[in-house]
Amino acid sequence: MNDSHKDQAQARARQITAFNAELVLLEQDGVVALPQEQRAHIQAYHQDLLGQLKTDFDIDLSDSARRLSLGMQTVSFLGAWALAASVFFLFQQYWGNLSMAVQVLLLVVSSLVTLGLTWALHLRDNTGYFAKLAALIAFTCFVLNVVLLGRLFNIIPSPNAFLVFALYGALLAYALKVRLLLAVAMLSLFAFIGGWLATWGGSYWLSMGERPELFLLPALGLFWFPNVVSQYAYPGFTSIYRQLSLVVFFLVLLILSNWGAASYLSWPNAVIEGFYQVLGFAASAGVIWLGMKRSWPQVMATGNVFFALFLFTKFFDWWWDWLPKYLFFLLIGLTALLALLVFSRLRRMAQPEVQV
Amino acid sequence: MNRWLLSLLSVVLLTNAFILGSALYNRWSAPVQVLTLTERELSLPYWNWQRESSQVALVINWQTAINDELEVFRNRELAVTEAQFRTLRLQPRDCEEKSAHRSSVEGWVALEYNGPAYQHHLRALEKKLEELEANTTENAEENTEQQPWQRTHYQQQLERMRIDGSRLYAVAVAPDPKTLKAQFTDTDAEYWFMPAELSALSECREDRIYVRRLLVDGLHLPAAMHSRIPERQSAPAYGKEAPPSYAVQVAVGRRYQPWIEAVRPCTPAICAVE
Repeated sequence: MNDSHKDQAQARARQITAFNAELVLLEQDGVVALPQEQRAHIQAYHQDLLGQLKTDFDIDLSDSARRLSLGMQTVSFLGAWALAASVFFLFQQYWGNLSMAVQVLLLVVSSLVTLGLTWALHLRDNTGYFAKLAALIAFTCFVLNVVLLGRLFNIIPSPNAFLVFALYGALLAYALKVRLLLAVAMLSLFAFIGGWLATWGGSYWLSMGERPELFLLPALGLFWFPNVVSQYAYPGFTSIYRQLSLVVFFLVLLILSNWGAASYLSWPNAVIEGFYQVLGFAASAGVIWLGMKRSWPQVMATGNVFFALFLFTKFFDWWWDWLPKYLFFLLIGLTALLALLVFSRLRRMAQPEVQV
Repeated sequence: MNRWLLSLLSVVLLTNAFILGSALYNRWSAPVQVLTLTERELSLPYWNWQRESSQVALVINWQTAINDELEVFRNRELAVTEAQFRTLRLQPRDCEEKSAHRSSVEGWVALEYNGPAYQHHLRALEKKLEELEANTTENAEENTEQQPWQRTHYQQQLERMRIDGSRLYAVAVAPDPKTLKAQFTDTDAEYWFMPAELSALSECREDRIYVRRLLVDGLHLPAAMHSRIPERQSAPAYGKEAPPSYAVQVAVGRRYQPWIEAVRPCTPAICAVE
């Protein structure tokens, strides 16, 4: 099953429903009157098409089915985390009581068996929910496999573990089109690159958190990745790449705009903080512009959120101690109103011309 | 077979092969070092927050070679020369407004077991007590309220160090184990070489470093040995120290990865107190 085709099939079904609803209204207003034979012909064609799409792609043909699908997605997401946690605690509870050979065997076998189970479900499960749920459990088992083997042999922790987590997570995400696993794989990759860059710079790898700048280049790289390698066949992956990397990028700027001591730059802390504040404003405004220009709504929304965060952080710095609280919140409210005016003007500009 | 499945299987198998191969290489030939420590140095953690965890790891108890002022809060600091400081690629902190670029580095630390550093600590405590005693006798009239409290404090510390305090002392650091090992060829004391996270102290100092932690801070205890460790119900009360009840044989492999080879009940020869 190709998910991009499933999305197209779902869009076609929505288009047919909208067409039928609009046709009824047009007929009621006397704008159009289709001959009975032609109407029956269209209806039969649509019924055949919808039946075929449902068989091939398991799409939702009604609003209630669509709502139930959304509910299934939520349940599958929560169930996946709960089952992963259950596997984790199951290992914690019993694994330590086994002999070393059995421990090693159990860890390796659990990774292989959960992978096999995931694949078997992937081949049989038409909806994809169960296979995706199994994929998260397979990932958890693999992480436990690596971490517990490390503890068993008292191995020195290294950032390389995050590289294999990222690789395994990304392979599972692409094979089964699981967006959640792509996000987990990206976070693992951030941890690996951050740790590796810290080691390369002479620091201990776990000190990467004290140097947020290590994450700037990986974030920009992953933001641009879908432009280099098309994610057309993987619905939702492009927005995960762009949004998650933007969140990491802006969090780094936000931290450094308040904690200049963590920077690699050799300027005084106040200058570094000022530099990152300006960069934060410029970058979030730039991201809003990019999102509008390229029609990337999620990118625009992320830019909006961080622009507001940078603005309110600055307001807090400037005025919290200085202004009475009612005036402080009034200023924030007025700023929100101003932003609303700007956005409604932009929205008007973005609307297509309608002749009245 | 599907190429995705093949790639996933390869990641699982190659990762396991790498980890197990590395562990096997570490333990393949005879251990490069075998140490016999006691409950004083390898104990159950005081706080077992993982109530549902069946895994047992013995925590390595250690401190740095004590300074003569006996400041307990400085028991992770180690004196180094400026040359050693630079060899570790550390950067002094808080010299100007900016802090150092490298906040901590990975290095190696030599843990001396039951050697001169431990003896020095005992002697320093004894000397401190003698000084306090002499001071009390000489200035009996000016005796402050603080002195009896100080005496009790140091007496308890001395008692603890004699009976159940760890005898593992970090005495030297180096960027790699070979350099570190070379420093201890002509000595009778036992040394355990462990990777550690090291950082510079604040106040722009280059004569001392801070040993943040050992990178392997606990040793996995195989299930077959669980029963040989008496379960600790709670942390012993201060001043009511108990002598160690077991001895642990630790082996160190070719990759300096340690493991527990055996746990035995304490014998006077191994667990004798000072």
